[in-house]
Amino acid sequence: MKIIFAMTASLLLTVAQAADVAVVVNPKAGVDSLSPEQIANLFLGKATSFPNGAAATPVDQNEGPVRDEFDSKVLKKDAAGVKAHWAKMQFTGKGNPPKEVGGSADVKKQVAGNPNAIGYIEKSAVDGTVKVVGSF
Amino acid sequence: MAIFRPLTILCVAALSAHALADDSALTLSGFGTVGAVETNTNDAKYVTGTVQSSGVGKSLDFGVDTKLGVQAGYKATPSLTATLQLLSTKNRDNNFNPGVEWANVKYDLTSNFAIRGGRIGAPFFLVSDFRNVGYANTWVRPPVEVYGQVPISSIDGIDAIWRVPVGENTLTVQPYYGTGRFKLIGDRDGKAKNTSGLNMTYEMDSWTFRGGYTATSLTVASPSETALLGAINQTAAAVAPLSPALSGSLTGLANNLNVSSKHSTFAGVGASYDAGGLVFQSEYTQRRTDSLVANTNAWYATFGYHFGNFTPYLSYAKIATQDRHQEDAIPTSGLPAPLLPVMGALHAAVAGAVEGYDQHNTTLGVRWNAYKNLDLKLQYERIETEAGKGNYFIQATPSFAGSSVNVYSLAADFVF
Repeated sequence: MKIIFAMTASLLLTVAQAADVAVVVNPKAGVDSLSPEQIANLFLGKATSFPNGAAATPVDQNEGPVRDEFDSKVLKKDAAGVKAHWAKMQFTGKGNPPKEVGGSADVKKQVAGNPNAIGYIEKSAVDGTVKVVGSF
Repeated sequence: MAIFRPLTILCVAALSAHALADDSALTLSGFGTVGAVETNTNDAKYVTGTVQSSGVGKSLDFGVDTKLGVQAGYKATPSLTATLQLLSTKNRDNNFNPGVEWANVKYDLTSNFAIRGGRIGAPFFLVSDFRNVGYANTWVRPPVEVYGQVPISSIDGIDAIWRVPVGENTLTVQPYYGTGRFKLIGDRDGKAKNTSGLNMTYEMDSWTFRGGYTATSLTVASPSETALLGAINQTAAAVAPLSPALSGSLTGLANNLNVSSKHSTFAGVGASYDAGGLVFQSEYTQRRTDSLVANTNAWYATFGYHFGNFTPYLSYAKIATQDRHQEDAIPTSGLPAPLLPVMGALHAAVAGAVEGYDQHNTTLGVRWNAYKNLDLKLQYERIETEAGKGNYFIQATPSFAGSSVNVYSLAADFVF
């Protein structure tokens, strides 16, 4: 019982320590907010445009804690689940996974430079060059 | 080991092409499986469908599941994409010579409507397009009881893929038309002409629902079948003076059995779910044809649960033949004595030729995501057959009738 309690406590601590993730778009995109489902659809290739009809180009982070956080909170899958999802999509000709561009700074740069891009970064990295459309 | 050579060549070619693919218009990806299988009997051989002609018994075999697929995509313009997929898997001729699974051009008219032409995947099942991609599936291989019913994996033709957003869900409507070709165990070569159908999927959160219907004009050319039909027709001619009625019913039987441009259909519904650790997938299918090819109903249900990188799973699958026995059109009693042995032999020959499939399969396994693009699977299957009925085992000895078989599989699946 003690062990279970200790494990739960350390799990809660881990969750509390995990960085918050902000989903960001270009300020010129004309998108104010997106639901977790809309974001997941874009990042899983089930949708290819924003609700306003403009084309959306998701950009992914390299593997790491921020991506793990995004995968589990927004995509509701673990890394292997996301990989298996894209294996299905690729070999059914439905699409290819978003490009991995680096860490939060690289994603921010991409999104700031492309009105169609959507990415996710550590909340602490948010500045005026991007617009937050969801926080997790 | 020489039979594995094409596999090795394809592998080397794929890896070097992968390294060269710097141009972002060109994408290269691939999938593969190294699998080992053995069973607890030598009375019959286990195979994964109706295509492979050498199966596995008590000694460990690497041919049944081992495969390699390579896919190249080229985006000529933002709306025009060409795709080529080569698949090397053990075929009827007992080698791994790669076949062209896909070779098509896709044109996106809008972001939600595309048309394709060329060799396209035949969407007859829930996981048709990735049935060979072990990494994308929970089990070692899709249940043979359901996926073994249709030997066609691609058609030469056209299709349209129309994505309809329904709120936050997506409905995909895919009509298609074309010709499928296949080679089966033994001497049978087949063609499915005017294959037309509709495949619909509805994606809702973590659920995928699918329904599909296909109609085709099926022809299977087989020297042994031609010989059997010849024997029936000869007998019909020989008994005509004695009994015109018997002769007529034999001629009718020969026409019924002949797999020549026979209208055939395949229908299926399915659902899959993957969220919160739980994995569920199930399909129900019906195959119908007015010929030697048996009418069958088949279904499976699979449950699994993700414990971190481990996913234990349990699956049950069953196929049942629906035909009335066609050989019953041949009377074996109430005939003039000289005809009895002839009719008896003919009855047995027709009964043997009409392929029925009746078996059920309980599968237990575990998938381990060992590395980011590599999984390992260990699977145990208990397959129960029925005496006097057909099944997916080949080279069965008479003592195999009604047997139950344990199948043990170990597989490593990868994608790149």
